[in-house]
Amino acid sequence: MGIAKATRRLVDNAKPSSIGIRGAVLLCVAVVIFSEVCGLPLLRWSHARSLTPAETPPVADAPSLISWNEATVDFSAGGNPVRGQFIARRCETCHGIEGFSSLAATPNLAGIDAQYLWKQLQDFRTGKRASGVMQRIAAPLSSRDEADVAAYFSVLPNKPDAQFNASFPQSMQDLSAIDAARRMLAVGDPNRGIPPCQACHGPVGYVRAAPSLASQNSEYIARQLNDFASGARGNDINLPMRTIAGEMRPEERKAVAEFYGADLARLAVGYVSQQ
Amino acid sequence: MWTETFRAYLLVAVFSLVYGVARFSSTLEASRALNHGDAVDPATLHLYGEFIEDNLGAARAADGSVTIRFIAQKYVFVPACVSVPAGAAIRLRITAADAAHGFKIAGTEVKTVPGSVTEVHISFPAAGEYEFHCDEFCGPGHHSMMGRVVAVPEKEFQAAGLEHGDHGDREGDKAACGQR
Repeated sequence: MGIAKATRRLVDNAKPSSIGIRGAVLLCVAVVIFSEVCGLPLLRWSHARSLTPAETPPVADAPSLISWNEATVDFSAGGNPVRGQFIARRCETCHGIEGFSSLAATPNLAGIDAQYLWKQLQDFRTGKRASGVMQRIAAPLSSRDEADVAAYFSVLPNKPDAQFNASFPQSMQDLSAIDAARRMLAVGDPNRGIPPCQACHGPVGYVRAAPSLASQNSEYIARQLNDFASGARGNDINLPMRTIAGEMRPEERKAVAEFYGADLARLAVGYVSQQ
Repeated sequence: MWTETFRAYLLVAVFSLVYGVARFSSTLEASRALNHGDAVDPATLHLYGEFIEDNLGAARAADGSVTIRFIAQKYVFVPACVSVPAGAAIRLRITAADAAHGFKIAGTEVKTVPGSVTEVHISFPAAGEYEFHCDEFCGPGHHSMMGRVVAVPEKEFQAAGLEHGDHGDREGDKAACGQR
């Protein structure tokens, strides 16, 4: 038997039957589509039925009344910075004209994540984060105002102008703590369950509504860490910062805060490291 | 000709049967789990339900059973340290807030994903410290994601005042875990 003949026989034998292999595959695909189409709504329905209904009031001592769903994420990130600029005029006395404060315990807002700022303003307004000044300032704002002013600060450059403000040289007082602080930023302490600062606060990684700390005042950071550790500030959803700051030793909190502050001072005077 | 048609139909039939059984049973299983209260909205853990702040940690129910509740999130287990009575049968309920996390504790492998509650039944036979580390890569802080369970003798657990699940302050945990 020649090869040509054998091939022809094979081809003849493989002539399509009534449904054929292609038909069979298509039927299988139809089965998959049918089960997915029937199964997914069923699951979604039972999932929706088992969740807490939206009208349930939140618990009284919730850390924050914000929850990050599609609506709040879009809303907080969609502010209008141009309108926010006008609202921000009432922030500049304390937080500085370009978002860099000359008061040590007042945070710099330039370049801070809009979702974080929006959430903090909401928390001040609802009393979930305590501050005599900020609670009064946030009281008359609407949610829209808060999103706009957050958008304005988030688009400001987060490096201070070298000639702009000479009042924040925040040198690191304890030079022997630089290494420990740097290690805390980059690796944390795996043996004690302390994650690196940079994994959430950037630049290595970010999580939702974690502010960038790159150009923050050291005194402000130190105060927040101590407040988280003592529970005086408790508006972090699901307690990440209260847990981490609580695990850190007081001298580590101080070192980390000073390290971030020294970073800012270096940026401010245009100092280039010798290394 | 007949055999080929038969084969094609057989293929479809076998495939439909296997796929259908797998899909049906998994859907049934999932919806049953959901209907038993094992579904949570990861966005509102802090607002409603069993994973609000005061419920986290170990609590003893009226019937004497002990339940630990955890939230796993980037990059901490909350609470980071919990004290439990040694030797007691413990129900561990954990959910994730943002990504898949997992760990192994007292010989039991636990995995958790956002949206549902993982429940395992374990016990800590001897008093002492049990460390667990996240073993499901979850991001740049994954290597530091760690928690501890400190098993204390039954008497001390009771003496620490942890009986009624009042964990607003969790003084007993602080006493058992200490600052490291």
